[in-house]
Amino acid sequence: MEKTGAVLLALCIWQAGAMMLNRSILLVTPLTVAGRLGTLLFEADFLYAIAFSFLRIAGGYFAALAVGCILAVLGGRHRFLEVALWPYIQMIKSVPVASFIILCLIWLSSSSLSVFISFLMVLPIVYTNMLQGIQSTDVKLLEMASVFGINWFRKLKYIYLPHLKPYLMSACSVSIGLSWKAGIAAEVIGIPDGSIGEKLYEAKVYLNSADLFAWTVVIVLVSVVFEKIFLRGLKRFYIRLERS
Amino acid sequence: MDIVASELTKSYGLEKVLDRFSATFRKGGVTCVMGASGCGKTTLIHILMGLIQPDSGSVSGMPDKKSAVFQEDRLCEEFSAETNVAMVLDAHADRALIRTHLDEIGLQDDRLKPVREYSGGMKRRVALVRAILAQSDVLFLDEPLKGLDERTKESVVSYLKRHFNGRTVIMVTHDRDEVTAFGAELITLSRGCEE
Repeated sequence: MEKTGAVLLALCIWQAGAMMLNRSILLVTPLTVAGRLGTLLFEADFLYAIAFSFLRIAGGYFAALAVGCILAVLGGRHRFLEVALWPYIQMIKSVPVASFIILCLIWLSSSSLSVFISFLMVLPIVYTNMLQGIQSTDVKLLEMASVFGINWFRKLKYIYLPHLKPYLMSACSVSIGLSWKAGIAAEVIGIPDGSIGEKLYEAKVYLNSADLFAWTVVIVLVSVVFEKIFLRGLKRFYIRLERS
Repeated sequence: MDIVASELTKSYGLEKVLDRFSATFRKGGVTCVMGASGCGKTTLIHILMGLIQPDSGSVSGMPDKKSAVFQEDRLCEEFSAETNVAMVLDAHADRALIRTHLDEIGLQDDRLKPVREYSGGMKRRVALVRAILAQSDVLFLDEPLKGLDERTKESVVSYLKRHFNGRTVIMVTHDRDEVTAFGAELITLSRGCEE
């Protein structure tokens, strides 16, 4: 309720500011954005653009989630692998995303650019969180498993997965938003045909602030809905696991 | 086959915890290792379980199938008592048998609650049922009655004795009454050596 009030207040301030400025090229009103969103919904390529960007960014995200978890398991088991991976992870964390985008434009087609950039932004977050989780697993429980001869699948199910829950939830929650920001930035630079990034680029070229704001709202909504659905799925998985 | 510990020595830094300890644990018998706190009882039991390596000495005759009650309960807190027991059993293990044992030890009303909601004594009893039901030839009990009140202790001792089923039992305690209650052979440890 309080948050809804805060959002309404922010919209009022935005509307008042835009009306005072009275130059739609600099700042459009939220009502204009809402109107533009309404017309966008009926445009032929609206859903195609969302699907195009969503499939690539989500694909990169899930690939990074899988690879990050696998590397964390390997790094957690073998110290030399953790050390060997350290420079790559540090490099990915430190290099500006724009440098990667430009470099990848040389290596890859523009349509697969957002997959790779989303993957690169998510990988170090997932790897670092999961590695920290794996390394802090209760040694006493692992000793218990070793004495009882519990197999690896049960260790995963009953010891590792419950312990990794906060690490995994935190990694997923932080990295979903980041994958969208970086993925769309890659599309704006690479301009693949039919992507949301292309729409943003066109809005910039034609100085169409209403389109820019409307597509930004779409990106935020898709990102938030994706995050909510995925995290809810993850929570349900854990509830089922604990009831098993 | 008896389990034989020969000349076990273990130090942590400059402190010698076990000093050329030797003993024989009779097959199918109950042996209590007794001694004051810090005299090396848990170190000894961990060496026998294979969790730590001695600096020197050896253990022979140790069966592959082991089960244990540790000094701490070492339960998976998010899961129910039933699941905590089932996780050490075969995939096809009879859940009804787990329920019977949990009932027998006084946990009939709580077996589906996550064990994080259990009291210390209840957790201890889950750890005991887990060790009893696991397929094993040797059973390690590190202060198995820790945290139980006197009345519960009596019923737990009787439960354990009913279900040892000819396994070799190696128990650590510092309570002479427990040695008597289990009718166990006694090995007394004093600063890492058998007295």
